[in-house]
Amino acid sequence: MPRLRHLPLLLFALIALVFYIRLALQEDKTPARFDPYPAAELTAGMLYKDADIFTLSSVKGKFVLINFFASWCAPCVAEVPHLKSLSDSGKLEVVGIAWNDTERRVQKFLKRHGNPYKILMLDIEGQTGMDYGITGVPENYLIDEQGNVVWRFAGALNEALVENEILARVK
Amino acid sequence: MKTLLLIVLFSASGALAQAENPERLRGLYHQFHCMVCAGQSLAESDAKLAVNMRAQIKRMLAEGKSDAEIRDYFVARYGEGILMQPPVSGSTLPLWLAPGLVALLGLVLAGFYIRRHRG
Repeated sequence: MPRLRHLPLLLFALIALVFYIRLALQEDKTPARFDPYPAAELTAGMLYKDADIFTLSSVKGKFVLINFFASWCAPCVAEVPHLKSLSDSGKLEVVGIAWNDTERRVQKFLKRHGNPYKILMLDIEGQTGMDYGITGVPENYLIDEQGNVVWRFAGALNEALVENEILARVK
Repeated sequence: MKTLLLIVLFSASGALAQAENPERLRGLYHQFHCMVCAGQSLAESDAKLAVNMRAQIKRMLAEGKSDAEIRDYFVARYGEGILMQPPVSGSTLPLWLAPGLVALLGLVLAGFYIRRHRG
């Protein structure tokens, strides 16, 4: 059976061809990371019990930056100055959502590193984080005036991201 | 009125039994990847996110959600990559076929090797 000698090579070539065709013709069906989509309403409670309940619908018409953070998260400390500058700019609402945390620890964190947030929420069981599809902290979501997520970023903010991704989108 | 009350109580107890059904819970935990672990399902992971997801599944079961609704909730947020067993579709077909093809290739190679060494 001399012809069968090349069968392994042919099979290998066939497998390679199947993969090549699939990869070459495959349309990327996963939603683009920055394709706008409606933001989920925030179900987390307010960090300070006496604070007014915050909903996204109450700030429609304004840009909102939702920052998931935690007192136990080191990169979250690094982005505090950037969040502060965004908050001070008055161009958008900066909402902090403490993820899988406790009130006491968050207060200690804010006292130590500063409080860049206008609105503070506490997502004790991580349900709001899950509604947004986060996998950890910090994670940031920019929501436009119509209530759509227009940008998201998993990781700590830096100056370049603030300028080129956030402020560039906020009119 | 009594009948109505009985129906409501019966339905509520049924939903509760479903929600607390450990087999169903375990089955669901095994359907999803822990998104921050290496190859572990929700059932095997103690990561914060996995703990949150297990709590969410329990909540959704208590609300009377079906397995499909729970699956849709997670897929909508984390993509099909969260499923331990991704559905067979055009894009995943090579992944499903690859093990069989590789095994076939191995068998053919083994056959050639054996034949050559016998000869």
